[in-house]
Formats: sequence, C-alpha cells, structure tokens
Amino acid sequence: MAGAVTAVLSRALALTAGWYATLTTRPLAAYGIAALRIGYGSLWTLYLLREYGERDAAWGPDALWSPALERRYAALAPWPGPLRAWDTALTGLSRTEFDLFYLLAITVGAAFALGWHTRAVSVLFAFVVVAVENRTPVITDGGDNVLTLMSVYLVFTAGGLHWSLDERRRRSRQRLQPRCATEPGPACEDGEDGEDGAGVAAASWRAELGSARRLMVTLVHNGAVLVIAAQICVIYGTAGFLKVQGPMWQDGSALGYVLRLSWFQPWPGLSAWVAGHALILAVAGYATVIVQVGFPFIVFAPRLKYPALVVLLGMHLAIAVLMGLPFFSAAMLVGDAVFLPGRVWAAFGRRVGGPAYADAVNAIKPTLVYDGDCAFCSRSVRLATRWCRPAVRFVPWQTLDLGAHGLTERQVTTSVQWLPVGGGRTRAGAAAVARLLLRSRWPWRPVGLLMLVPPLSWLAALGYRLVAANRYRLPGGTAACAVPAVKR
Amino acid sequence: MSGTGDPTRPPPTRWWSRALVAVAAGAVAAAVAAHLSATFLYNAPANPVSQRYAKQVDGWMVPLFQQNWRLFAPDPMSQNVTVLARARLRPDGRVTGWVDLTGRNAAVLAGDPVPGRLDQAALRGAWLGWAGSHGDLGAPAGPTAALTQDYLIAVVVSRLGPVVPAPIASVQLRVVTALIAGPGRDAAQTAPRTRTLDWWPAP
Repeated sequence: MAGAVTAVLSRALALTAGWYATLTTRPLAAYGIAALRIGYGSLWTLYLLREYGERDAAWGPDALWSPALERRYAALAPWPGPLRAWDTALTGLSRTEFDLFYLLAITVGAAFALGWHTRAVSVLFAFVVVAVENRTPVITDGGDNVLTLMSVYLVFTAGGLHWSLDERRRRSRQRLQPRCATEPGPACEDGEDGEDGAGVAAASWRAELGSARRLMVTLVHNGAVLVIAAQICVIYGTAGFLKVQGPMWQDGSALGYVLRLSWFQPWPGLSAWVAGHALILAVAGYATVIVQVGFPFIVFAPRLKYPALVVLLGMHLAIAVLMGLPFFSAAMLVGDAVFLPGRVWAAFGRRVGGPAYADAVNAIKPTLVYDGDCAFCSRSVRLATRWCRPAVRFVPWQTLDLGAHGLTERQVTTSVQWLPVGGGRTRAGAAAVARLLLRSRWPWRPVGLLMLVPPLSWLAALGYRLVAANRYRLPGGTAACAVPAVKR
Repeated sequence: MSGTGDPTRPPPTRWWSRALVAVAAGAVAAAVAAHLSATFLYNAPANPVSQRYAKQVDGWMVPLFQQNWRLFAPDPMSQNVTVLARARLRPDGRVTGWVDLTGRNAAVLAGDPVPGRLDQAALRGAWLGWAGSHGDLGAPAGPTAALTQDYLIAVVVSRLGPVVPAPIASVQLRVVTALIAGPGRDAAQTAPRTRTLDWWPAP
C-alpha cells in the first residue's frame, strides 16, 4: 500500500518536473503566436487605413461621440486613474495631435506585423489599440473586443521568434559570430572578455542571471499562450452556451432572422436568396451552436479540431460577406490560428519560403552550360558569380542530360551554351556571355548590351573563339581538372 | 526577444537563480489562474460565486479586459427598425419633411464588401443605445440615458445636415418597428408599429 502511494507520488513528481522543464525552456505555439502578431498587426493597420477618411468623425476631436461625451462616460465608471487616463488618452488631443497619433497607430501596427523590435513595439501596439478602441466604445463590435484583449495579451508573449525582422537580425548576427554560436559562455555577452578574476566572476554572474531571465521570459510567454487559448475558448463557449438557451437557435430559425435584419445587409439580394433556404439555415445554425459549445473540449481532440476549425472558417466567411463584417470575422479567425500546431505552420512556412520557393526561383532562371573539366572555365564562373552576380544558373555540361536540352557534345565542348527559360532558342559563345551580362548587376548590363550590337558583336565572337580554343592553356588551366566546386 | 529561442545559452546552475525561476513560475501560475477565473466568472451567468466576488471580478476585468460575447444570443434581434427624422430649421422655424435615415444608410452600405465603421455602426448603435437606456415612453432609465440621447442627436444631426437647406434648430425622430416574419408569428404581430418622439434641440 505504502509502496503504491510512493509510486504514485514519484510519478506525479516526475510529471510535474517534466512540465516545469517544458514550460521554462520551450516557448509553446511560437509559430501560432507569430501568426497572431502578424494577423492582428496587419488587421489593425488595414482597419485604420480603411477608416482614414472618417478618422475625425469616429475618434477625433470632432467625433460624433464627442470628447466631452467620452469623458462623461468614463466618469460614470469607478476605474483607477491610470486606466481612465489610458482609455481617454485621445479625448484631450487637438486635431493635429490626433492626426499624428493616428499615423503613429498605423505605423505601430505595421511594425508589429513585421516584428521590428517586437517586444517594445508590442507595448506600443497595446497602448494605441486600447486608446483608440476605448475612445469611442459605441461603435465597437466583437472584433474590436477580441483585438483589444489580444493586443494586451501579446505583450507578454515572445512574438518575434519567427517570421519577424527580429529573427532575421538574430540570424545574421549568428552568421557573423560563428564562435559565439558554437562556444556559449560569458565571452559572447556583449563582446566582453573577463581577463582578471573579478571580471570572470562578474561575467559569469551576469551570464547566470541571463540564463534565469531566459527561462522566466519563456515562462511568461507560455502563461500568455495559455491565457490566449483559454480566452478563445471562453469566446466560443460563452457564445455557444448563450445560444443554447435561445428558442430561435433551438428551433433552427435564428439564422433566418439574422439574414433578414436590415442593419446587416450589404447584399440584400444575396441575403434574401440565402434566407429562402430554411433547411440549409437550420443545419448551419445547429452546426454553429454545436461547434461553439464544444470548442473548449474539441481543441483537445486532434481529430475533431480541424473539422471544427473548418466549420468556424466557413461561419466567419459567411459573416464577413453576408453581414458585411470582414474585420470582425478576420479578428476572430486570427485568434483561432493559435490552435494550429507548429508542424502545420512549419509546413506552411516551407510552402511559402522553403525549398519549394528556391526551386521556383531556379525554375525561372536561365541556364548557362559550361565545361566543368576546364579550370579556367570554372574559375571564370566563380569570378562571374562573385563580381557580376547574374540571376543565372551555372551548370557544367558533364552533369547535364544533353539530349533532353537538344544539345550535342560537340556544341558544349566548343563554347558555353545559353538555355533560356521556357525552352527558347539556345545561344552559344559570345552571345551567351552577353545574355549572362544582361542579367547581371550594374555596370555589366550595358556591357552585355554592347556585346550584342554589330560590329562589336563580331569582335566579341572572334575574341570568344580565340579564348575558347586555348582554354586549356590559360591560367589555372590543366588538361584534366576535377568537376569544380561551383557544381550544385 | 533575445531571451527566448536562443539555444546557445546554458541553463542556470546556481541555487539562487533556480530559486528565482521557481518563484517566477509560481507567480505566473497564480496570475494565469486568477485571470482565467475572473474571465470565467465575468462571462458566466450570475451565480453565487460571481455574485459574491462581483466587485473584485469587475475591478479586475473592467475596463481593460471587458468583453461581451452575446453575439446574437440567446436569440438574435428579430425586428427591423426604420429611423426617420425631420428638422426644424433656423432662423424661421420651418419644418422639413421626414427623411428615411435607415434607408439612406442602407443605400450607402449596399454593395460595399468592406463597409466603413460609422456607416455600419453609428446609426444602429445610437438608436439601440438610446432604446436600451430609455423606457417605452421615452423616459430615461439608467445613468447613461443623457449620454445616449446626446449621441443620438449628434448622429441624427450629422445625417440630416447634408440633406436640409439651412442650419438645424431641433430634430424629431419617428421610429417604425416591425417584427420579422417567422414561424409562429401572425400578420397582426408583424405589422409595423410607429412611434414618434419629442422634439430635441440640436447642439
């Protein structure tokens, strides 16, 4: 008996230790959070740009919900001073100050989406979102509500880990300091190196604190991820449970009424047409309620999660189009993205920026076929790559399926061959070199152009033939060099 | 940002730094638990727990974390409201004809895939806000009644202003409400009801 209790206890301890290790060292949903950052940042910027012409009437000093009304409204609530000041931050601004604030808000949204100094910008983002959204609470909807909440929660996340300018900067720094990447230690802290004993002690003390800080940052991030996920569950759960209590959702007539509301009819003909299909509406209504009620549980069941997300996607697309609420729908959908796991995002990232992208870029590059057995040729290719940086693929003929490209061995041993994209006419010799230069960086392009214009083209062709015929005798040239490093 | 996702740093080894992390873990866990409990109680229907801690919950959630997920629940709105307005003009007190503000608003929204927020929400929000803070006879109910009335007047004046030929001295609203036809509703129930409000001075 005592043995069983001890076993259970030690198992629980081991589990807790495992959780503790995970939550302190692994930032969860790092890609999902990056998606939220990009989604909410761009959504905010697009929203403000859409409302640019109406900004004063919506939130400015001449707004319909005037600064005086907002101050009276805030005075009714027993909010603590700093929060009141934050929520009413826009009420005291002059027109110029308000315009500057508006431009700042647009910029902050864009910077947040790009992940530029993410943590600092996330604080600014929360500040501008809360200030603008609370300036005129009478025109906000559920989308504004979720955006406001998420802007605050995202401050606590490490949103710049992926798909951000911060990540790019971090990577290029790591490339510049390979020593630090392979030899972790105090020497990598801001370039300081402790020569004397006190210096070493201070540096290691600081390194220790830095390591602890990293764990705490990860902890806070994971706490915020949990809060964000729970908040989305609360949204759908609450909406679902409240709907279950409504007779119209119970008898399947609710969506018919929603579609006949004149307040929400950007396409009256379409709404009327859809409203005529009571059967479909009843099914859609039940699906909505079931998925919303079940959402807090469904997210733990991988097999149910994706179908549920698809239903929600359909629901939000319908709301966006039929009710004219695209920002509301987008704000909700962005929040749902936190439930997509890392491997889904990784696959998405590969699709957009991975090898597939590199292949696609290579597929649109023309090819220059050269003699890989000739050191002079290989060296020229290396030099051209370095100095001219042409958008061209270099391929030694020895690795190419000549027949597939309509080339003969005689052709490729006489001169370089130019294979255009999409299988146009092949060019050889000086004409191929000229086309290579035309796709290079400044100032090689005009040189390439001149090489195509007679009589310079004749001279170029003559020169090329001379060089090609004597290529094994030219510097670096030996009769039998290996296939060079440029080969990919 | 450099704090996370940097695999090159060694884990902390000293007792004091590990204790620091453990304390932080406790604080984060407590904060998350407190916030999620407050969020649940704030959104849940009134119950003994939420009533007992209403003050603490509201103090934490409002205004930063306030939220409302009714979203067409428990039942969606099932009546259409048409707001008409007319104005008494300066300086001669001439009264204009009735202008269908809802119809004009719908015409602006029609065919726009990304409608502007004011076109979408100003008139609807102003009317629903006023109706929610006033009794059936137009008597103020609740502390926000004066605010919603001032806002409704501002919205109506902003919509009437471009339509009428002279400055507006005061406005009057006529509101036609019609239940949307549906199961269990007969013609008598869905017949439109008209209500004319008092004259309100424009600001």
